[in-house]
Amino acid sequence: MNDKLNRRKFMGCIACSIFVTNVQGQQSHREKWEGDLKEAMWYTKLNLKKVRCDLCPRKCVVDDRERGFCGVRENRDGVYYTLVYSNPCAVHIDPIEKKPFFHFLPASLSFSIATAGCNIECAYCQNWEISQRRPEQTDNVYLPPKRVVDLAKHYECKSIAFTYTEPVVFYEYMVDTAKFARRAGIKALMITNAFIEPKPMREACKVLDGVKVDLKAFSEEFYKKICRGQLKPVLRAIEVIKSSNVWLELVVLIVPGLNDSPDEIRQMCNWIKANLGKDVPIHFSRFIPMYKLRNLPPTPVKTLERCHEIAKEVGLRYVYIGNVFGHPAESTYCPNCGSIVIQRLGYKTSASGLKDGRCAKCKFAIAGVWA
Amino acid sequence: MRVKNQRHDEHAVQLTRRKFILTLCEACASAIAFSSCSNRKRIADVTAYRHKSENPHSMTHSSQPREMEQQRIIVVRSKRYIESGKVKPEEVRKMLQIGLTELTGCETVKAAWRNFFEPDDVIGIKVNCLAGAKMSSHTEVANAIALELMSTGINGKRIIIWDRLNRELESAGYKVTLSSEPLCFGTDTDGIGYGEEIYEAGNVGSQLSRIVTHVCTALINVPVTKDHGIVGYTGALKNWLGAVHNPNKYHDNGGDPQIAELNALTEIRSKQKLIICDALDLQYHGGPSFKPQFLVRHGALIISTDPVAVDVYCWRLVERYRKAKGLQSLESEGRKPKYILTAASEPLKLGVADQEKVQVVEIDI
Repeated sequence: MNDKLNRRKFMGCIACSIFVTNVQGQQSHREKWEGDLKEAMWYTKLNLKKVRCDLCPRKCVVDDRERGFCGVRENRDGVYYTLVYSNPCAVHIDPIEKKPFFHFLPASLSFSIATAGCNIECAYCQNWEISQRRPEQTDNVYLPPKRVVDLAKHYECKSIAFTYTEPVVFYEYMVDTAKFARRAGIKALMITNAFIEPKPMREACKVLDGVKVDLKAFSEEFYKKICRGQLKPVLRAIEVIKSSNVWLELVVLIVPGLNDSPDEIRQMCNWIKANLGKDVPIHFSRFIPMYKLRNLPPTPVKTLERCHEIAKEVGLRYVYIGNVFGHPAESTYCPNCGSIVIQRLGYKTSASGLKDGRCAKCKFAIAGVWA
Repeated sequence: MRVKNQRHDEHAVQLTRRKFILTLCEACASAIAFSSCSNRKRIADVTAYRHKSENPHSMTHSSQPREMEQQRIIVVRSKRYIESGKVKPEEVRKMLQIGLTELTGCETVKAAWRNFFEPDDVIGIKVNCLAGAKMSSHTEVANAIALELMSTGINGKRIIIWDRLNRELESAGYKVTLSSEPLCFGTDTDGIGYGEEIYEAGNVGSQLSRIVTHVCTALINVPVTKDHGIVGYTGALKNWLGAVHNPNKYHDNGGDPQIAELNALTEIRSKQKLIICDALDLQYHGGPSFKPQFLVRHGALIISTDPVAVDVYCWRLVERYRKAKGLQSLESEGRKPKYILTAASEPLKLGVADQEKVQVVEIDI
């Protein structure tokens, strides 16, 4: 395990926390909660000063002085604005494995930001205290795109992750930051529900290097009842990502009794193999009772192991179990010879079995972004 | 801000403990601010109502409207309510007095108000200020209600005119104050905010304004009468969207059943004593924002204890104006406010939608 890197990570996190505290101390967030007011991308002006948001499949029609479902875009006199540009409510330095990205610059640090808001509402949302609030209800810091990149460089982060809530709703901020990041040689990562229209997703992929999609389930019913979203547009967006030459990983949070049926998991895995290929990593994560879904127990490890087994049976090469500390399925195994190429224990990561993107033992090429 | 070590779920939350302490401090500061302009008795009053609001079951009033009131709507109309473009406060107050005595059958105005409120109540007057000065609950209506309550012996510091944001109150012409009587402030006032508890309405999870959950023991709903581009009609039931932290999450499926279920929450249902719908002006199309071309001077206050009956009556009113102006019905435009009917139906039964079963008393003065 790479202890030196972990110490550095720890110091980085402390330094970042001090930075955030200082920034907060300098401004009254309640008075300046709007950040840089910026006209939104992807909307259409309608009659009577209404607008239609074309960013996500919800396609909210928003009247003057009203906001869309996400709560962070507002119609002011017929012009649609984003209220969260340069206005994050969460700023952290994380191990990239926390996103999780397992096949993208392992053991590196990722400068991670989020603003308030989300365009769906998962009943088990882990971050509902920021995702289900409006920007005036969160503690924000003023952080324009260039400053984000400068800080990422300063703290030796190899990537910037747009994460925690839903980057779709802070699209403009994400895209502009990603452009600055590319010029500075820093990778840009989006952690998303992929509930986004194909056009904006395709455009975003031009400046992104990796996308991790939270695929909530493989049934419309689950999406509708548990997440207030839709499956079909998500699958469409995932296909767009895959065709855009950015690195893609998938996470499925397995909720006992709701999205864990073997049939559904098998269908999902078959779809992934047929449409995305067998090299796309998939993580089956453990559900913890949260937000509106507190009446269910955490996912049994056996259920996750069954999902893992099904995915391997279908032929997916890189299958992981998440949120179960110390589980062997946290590590990456060579699909050819079966030896460990990247070993993980919590956030401790050792890629000693990986040489130049290949298995050190049999030289099999491991899919991913390694440098 | 911090991130919990729940790895794949990327759990990032804000410092809730710090927030909690901050909130406590702010609440204390507010209490001090309240008390600084009054005497020691006021401090005791604040403590009293806070304790009381924690247990709605301890309230002296019945949580349900009485049978007689549930089926009555009093519509008081005046052609003299406005002069040179300005609403006449004395005329509004007169309309209110006539409406209240008619609704309750009481001989005096004071007795009529006392029918709903006790001197130790903390009364929240929920106005709707989204559309700015021209199409919000009139300040003259809210102030007239406050003056009426004060005339029955209720301390003005126990009356709060409120909505979600201070800037919206100000843009509608209200003076935000923590010192004058009555008080007037938004949920975004320091020390107020939204409670920690998550309530579910339909499949929406919401936090309620502390003005509803912690400050007030009784509520008066003072909505406006407007067309709404998504849910069809906005009036009494929808006015409570101003009490949740995430009104933007309520518009799916025309607000049905979320808006109805929000009104069924005990905190709202048990405390809402009266609906005084401000239909002095009415907007029959292009809402919820103000569109002057669709405004009519209707000149009515609509008073009841039944939010469903009021909404159905006003919805029909909007439809009548739409028809007269050559517009399609809300149903034809796919905007029938079905959430109102859901509110009336099993299992919620928040009021009576069938206008045949509602006694509508129309009084012209």
